[in-house]
Amino acid sequence: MSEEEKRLQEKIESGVFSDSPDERVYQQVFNSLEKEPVYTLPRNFASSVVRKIELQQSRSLKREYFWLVAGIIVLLVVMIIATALTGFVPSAGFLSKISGYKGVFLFGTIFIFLLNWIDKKFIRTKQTTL
Amino acid sequence: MIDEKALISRTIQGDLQAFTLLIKQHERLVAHMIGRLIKNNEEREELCQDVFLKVYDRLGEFNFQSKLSTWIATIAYRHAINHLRKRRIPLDHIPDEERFFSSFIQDENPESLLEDKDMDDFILKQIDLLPTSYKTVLTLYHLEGMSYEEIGAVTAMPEGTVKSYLFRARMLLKEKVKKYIAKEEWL
Repeated sequence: MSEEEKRLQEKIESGVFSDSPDERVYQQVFNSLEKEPVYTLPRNFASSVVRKIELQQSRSLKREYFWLVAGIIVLLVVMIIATALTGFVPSAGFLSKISGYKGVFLFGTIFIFLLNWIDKKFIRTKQTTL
Repeated sequence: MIDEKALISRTIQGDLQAFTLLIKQHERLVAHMIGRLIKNNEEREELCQDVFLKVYDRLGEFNFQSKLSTWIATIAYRHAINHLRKRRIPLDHIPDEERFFSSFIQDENPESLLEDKDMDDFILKQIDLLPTSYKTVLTLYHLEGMSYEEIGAVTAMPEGTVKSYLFRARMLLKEKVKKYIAKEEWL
């Protein structure tokens, strides 16, 4: 592309130009380039996108529930089969050994819930507002 | 007016009303990008919707290093290019520029000359005949007012290439218009 063409285009962009045929044609081209194309989106475009998102979210929630229920069922079935095969008799005797550490277990549980609450309330909110 | 950062933050937290406002702010940009690159009218709206679904899914990854409009334009551009590739529609690479230049300028379609109501229609039709990269650069520069740097970020082209494509595309259009005018005077 010649330097002359570049110079002409730069002149048109800066708004300073004479009335030569090339410059007039360039002016026409620049004007047309700034015109809106014919294609526009329908007025309800944003709401149809949002509807699609809601649909996806409800499907994904249903899928999650399905896997949760399926997981619990599989776990129960495996537990029953394992108990039947090994002849295991459930006993809560092991709890008597740790009954002396009630305070530690209570503190641990509260501490985990507190950390989780701080994470949700402050850390995640801060990250999303950045 | 609610600022963009607040809208982004609210959208990430799941506020779909905030996302509706974000869509309304940027739908014109996406429609321009998709409208210029995809010729099939029926596919355009669906592709525009897909772009915003991607924006919603990935908004948490937006790091404010660029303008949101540049980031959305990048998603729209890549989505359109991927769509063209999937459909095996040629991306109009310019293997031999000299040959492409002369064939573009020489190529005549007398029917289209007669059909065009005015010069704007004629020029818009000629833009459609340009290679994808030229069309993209013209759209982002003239319709969206993006800088060379921003266009480079959207298209992954070096700034020099963006500038060169822009100048060449406008020169091709000028030559075509000159030919059109000469023909009209002759008729």
